Amino acid sequence: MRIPTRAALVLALAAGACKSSSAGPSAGVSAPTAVVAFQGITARYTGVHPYVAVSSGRGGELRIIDPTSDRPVLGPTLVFPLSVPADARPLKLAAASLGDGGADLLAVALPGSAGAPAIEIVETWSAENRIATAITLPGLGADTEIISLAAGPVPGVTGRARLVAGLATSAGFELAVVDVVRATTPATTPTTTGAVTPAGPAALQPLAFTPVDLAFSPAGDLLFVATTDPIAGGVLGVAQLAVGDPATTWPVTALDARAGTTHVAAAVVAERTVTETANGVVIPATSEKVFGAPALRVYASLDPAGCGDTKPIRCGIATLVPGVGLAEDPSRVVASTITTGADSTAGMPYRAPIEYLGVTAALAMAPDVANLKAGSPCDVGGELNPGGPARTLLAPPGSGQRCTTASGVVASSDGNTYVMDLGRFEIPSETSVLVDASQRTRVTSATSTIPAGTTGATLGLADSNGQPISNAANLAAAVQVTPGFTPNDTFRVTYQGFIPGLQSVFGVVRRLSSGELVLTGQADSGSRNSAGEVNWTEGLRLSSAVFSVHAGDVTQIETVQIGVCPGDVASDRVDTEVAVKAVIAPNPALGIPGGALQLEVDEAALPCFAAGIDALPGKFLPVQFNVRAGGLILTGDALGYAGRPDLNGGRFALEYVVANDKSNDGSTDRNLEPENEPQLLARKARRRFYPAEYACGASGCSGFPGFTHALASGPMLAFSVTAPGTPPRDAQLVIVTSSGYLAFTSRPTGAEAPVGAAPIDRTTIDPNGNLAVRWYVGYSNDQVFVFGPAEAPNQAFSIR
Amino acid sequence: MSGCGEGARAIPGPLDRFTFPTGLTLAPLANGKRALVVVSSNFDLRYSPDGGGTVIAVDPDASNGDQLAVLGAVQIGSFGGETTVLSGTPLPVAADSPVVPATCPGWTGGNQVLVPSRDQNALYRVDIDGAGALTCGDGCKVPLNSSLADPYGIQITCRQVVDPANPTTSSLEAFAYTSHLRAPNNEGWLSKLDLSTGAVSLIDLGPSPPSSFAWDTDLNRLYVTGRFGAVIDLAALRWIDPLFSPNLVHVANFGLDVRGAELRSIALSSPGAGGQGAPRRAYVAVRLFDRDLATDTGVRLPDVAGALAVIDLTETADGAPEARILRLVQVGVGPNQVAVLPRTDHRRDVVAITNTDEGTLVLYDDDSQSIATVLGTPGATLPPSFPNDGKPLFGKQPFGLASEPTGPATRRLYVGSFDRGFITVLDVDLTHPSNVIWVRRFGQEVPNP
Repeated sequence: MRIPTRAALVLALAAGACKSSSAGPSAGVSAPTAVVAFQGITARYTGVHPYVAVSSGRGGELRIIDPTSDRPVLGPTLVFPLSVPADARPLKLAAASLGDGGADLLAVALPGSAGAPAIEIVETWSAENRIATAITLPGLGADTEIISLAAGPVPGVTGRARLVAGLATSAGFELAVVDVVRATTPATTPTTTGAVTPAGPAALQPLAFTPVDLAFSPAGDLLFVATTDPIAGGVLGVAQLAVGDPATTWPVTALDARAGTTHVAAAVVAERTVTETANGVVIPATSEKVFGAPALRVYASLDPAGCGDTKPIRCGIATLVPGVGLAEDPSRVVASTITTGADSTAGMPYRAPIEYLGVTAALAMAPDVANLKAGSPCDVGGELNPGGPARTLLAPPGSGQRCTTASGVVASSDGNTYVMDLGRFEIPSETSVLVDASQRTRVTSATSTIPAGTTGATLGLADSNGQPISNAANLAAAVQVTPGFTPNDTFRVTYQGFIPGLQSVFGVVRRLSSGELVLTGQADSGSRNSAGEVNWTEGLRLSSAVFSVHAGDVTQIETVQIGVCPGDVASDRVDTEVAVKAVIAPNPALGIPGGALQLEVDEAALPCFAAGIDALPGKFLPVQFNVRAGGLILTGDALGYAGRPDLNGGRFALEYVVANDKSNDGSTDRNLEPENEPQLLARKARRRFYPAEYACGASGCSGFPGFTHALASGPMLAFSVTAPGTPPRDAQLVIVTSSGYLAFTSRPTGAEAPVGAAPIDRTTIDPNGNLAVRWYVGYSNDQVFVFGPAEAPNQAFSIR
Repeated sequence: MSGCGEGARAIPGPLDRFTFPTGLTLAPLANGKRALVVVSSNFDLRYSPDGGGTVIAVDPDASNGDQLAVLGAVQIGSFGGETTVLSGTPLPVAADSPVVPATCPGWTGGNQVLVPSRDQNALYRVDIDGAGALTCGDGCKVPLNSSLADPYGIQITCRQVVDPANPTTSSLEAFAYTSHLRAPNNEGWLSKLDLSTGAVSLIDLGPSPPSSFAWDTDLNRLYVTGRFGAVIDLAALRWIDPLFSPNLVHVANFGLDVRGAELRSIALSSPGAGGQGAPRRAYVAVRLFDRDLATDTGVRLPDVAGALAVIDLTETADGAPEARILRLVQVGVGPNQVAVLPRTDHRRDVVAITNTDEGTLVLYDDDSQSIATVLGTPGATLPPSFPNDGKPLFGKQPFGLASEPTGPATRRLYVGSFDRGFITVLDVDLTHPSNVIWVRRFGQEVPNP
């Protein structure tokens, strides 16, 4: 029976306290470290029921929550919650069905405290609920660390499950694999009836990379390993292991995610398609509710060290296809099947990660819903295609209910638990990205100004016919944006504007041994080499594409040492503007480890920065400087450098170009040299999310000229800048954009540091209810947050 | 014990025991010896506020149980904070151990123990001689700006600077930075002491007070962590590049990435960790508080959790560190001091974190990206013979940390018990950091209530 929790909730709210489950006994979760759902037997009910196990780090124990009542399972005193003491602070949990309808395997990993770390099996098959046995890890002692833990089924075998632990040992990294079986010998005591016991000692398999996280495929035939290390052939991503006999080495296939990974999960998902078949003819999908055949997908959190705006892939949850690598981006299908004449190779060759804020703390997938009530909105055969997997319901409060084929969550260090619609490869938006004109992806304002006290032409925009827009109020309409690509940002088109990152910075002007006068972003380390030359400390890498300095740009240089230049006084320091003649790549042999800007300098006119320098020891002069563009420059307050539109030069587009987006080439923004500017811009212009709405017809998507399909590619920003004459320096066109996207999240009050998430299929508890999946998310501040993606926010609560 | 209404006591701090020890460090002595230097804070003001704190140098090998082999001791002001040793001499270590560089290469003045006193708003420069004797004579107590308060963190930065006009001559540029935990309007301020001239200047960090430091000797970059300063969602890691812009403060804010975060101690990864050219990392103790309550009340209430943040310091084209969190490792409530235990095989470091509130020490292995072990949990024992005297491993409230190499792949850890006043000595096998051996404990246990 479901304990009414709402009354308690109201009381808690009335008291101004955090929401908690009830006035009943506290669950006593103390610094949770992991959360897992399992089927087992407790004193709460006879027979096998679903439960949630929470490892209590500070208490060195497990607590068990009954999801039917959302109360803790009580101990023998019936007053206090049941404690399952572990031998040390439990770190990780894993559970799996043996496929025979009996109690699940529930394993807990403990760190070494006075010897070897341990993996212990919890007695789920009786109401004793104690630690029943330890897994034997042969030959592993106190030198072993348990890094990761997972459990899954053994393909085609009932009465057996498989437990895998990722280890760091004296031999390097290894997998310990052990099968567990249902005890078949006659029970000697009631508590050994149906016991889950190791089938034998663990078998060890060597790994060439750190097994940071593990996940079985639902069928148990594949094991996926998240790792930040290169896998076979230097590939960064997820290692796919073909599961076989534990005693044999499982073959490894590297799934390229363009970056390392830290968390991994797998699910069978029917994904949204952009076409459908009607009367034997392939036509554009008529809604966002058309899904393909279910297929196995792997989801992995990308290593923050290798992802980002300028890295080979943006950060988030990557979607991978087993045996292949990153899943495809649907925009290519859109281009080839829907958009007449479109280039089907122009879109991104890989699917954009599912983005969120913070760092992943937990990644988990919801199970297929077993018994969704007939006639409910997302029933099989209901709103969605019949015959597919069971459906689940999501209800972002701001954008209404939706059905989807599969869901998951990512719990983040920012305190939020983000709900993912896996069927549409996105975190649902609370707002309308395409339809609602007041919310959707749009330019919220576009204004043009010139600095006070200056004269000259004002920057304007041209319409699609190339005609200058005369009414400033219509400037916004002349800017093209694309749902999924255009972010929240303030873009600035500035005439001779500062290059982002190169304003009031420090470096030196120096004479190279080859004779050029250059500006560098380096500093005198204070030491000299054996030849008496300066050992330079590299600071700014001026040659990097991050700055994209061009020949013809303008440096503004002032000395930082008063008295060096003739007539130099503190009150008159900005003394020199010098054009950039060329960008020189880093050359330590020339003493420019961070590259340099060769100055187009009239040396006779600049005694300080030219002839004067030759008189200085080492022929260099510390300076503070700015660099401005020679013409127009586009910058985003968040995005940084975004390109160089031409004045009266026609359409400029900041957009993804596949040819410029190299795969994982080891580049960082520090070693992106000038020729990498197109790569930098292509990476910055990548897709950020996939709009879930359809809202487009044969004539395109209303409100988005030239945009043919919700999943089509398009520019992050495109426009044509005009001016009737030469604008003054710092004349500026400010374009404020909104992505229209607001991620669907849940979090409890006082939410700090989630640690793990486990789903419960409520339809197994209450087949007549309206609830599908409910999530139990452990937070390290002594609470388990419970919420349903289909429930109203005020129905969420915490168990403490 | 000092009670309500009782006036300040005039009793100087004891020199034969530790009272609420905070900072620990190791100091090189003559003849290949070294001392463990322990700062006692007189936290309960059992002794005089202005002389109740102490700095005691002991021979850590000859100290055992209640017996302290005191080499030198002086009284200082109460509420001493972190400590470091100003020395141009590397720490003596066993022949097969990795080198521990001098804290100030080129320093030719005498060795000094530097420790701030919050009660006195001063920085003490305590001379330590080759035998470990301590003296605090003229110029020992350096008063700090009276508009600021609570100096706590301390960091020495040293570098040789060639005279550009005469490249054959160079001089040592040596500073000691001190963080002020309190200042008007919750501003962040550093005091910067020129160790050669004695001149003190100030650096304005902007909102939120600083806590602890780390100095990147390769890049000449000073990192400083930020505490809660009434600005919600500001958890600032700031840095100064003295070589480029000594007065410019750069900020990376982790307050939006990590909800309810406050930064405490920081340590940098060792050079070479992760292999040739691998980016540097910072390890930062993060206190987590209830952000919602702080927003509602404007008050930072007690911690609810704690973590170790692993931060990527890859150099960007901007000449700045990436300063991005790679991982947030949950370590329990009350993480305080962080110490890096460098390996010599190019693997990533082992990181030790004292968890003051939970009474534990966590060893995190950044190579395997997992917690290797948690020490100090109830009932846990250590080989070979952790004494069954009923005392928890770290007494209560483990706080200060110091470490030294004892071989190519072993590191000795000294862990101070703030509440109980003793030092626990452990040996960590860096090849297998879950392998920890209990060595000894020394210092009288203080029976605080």
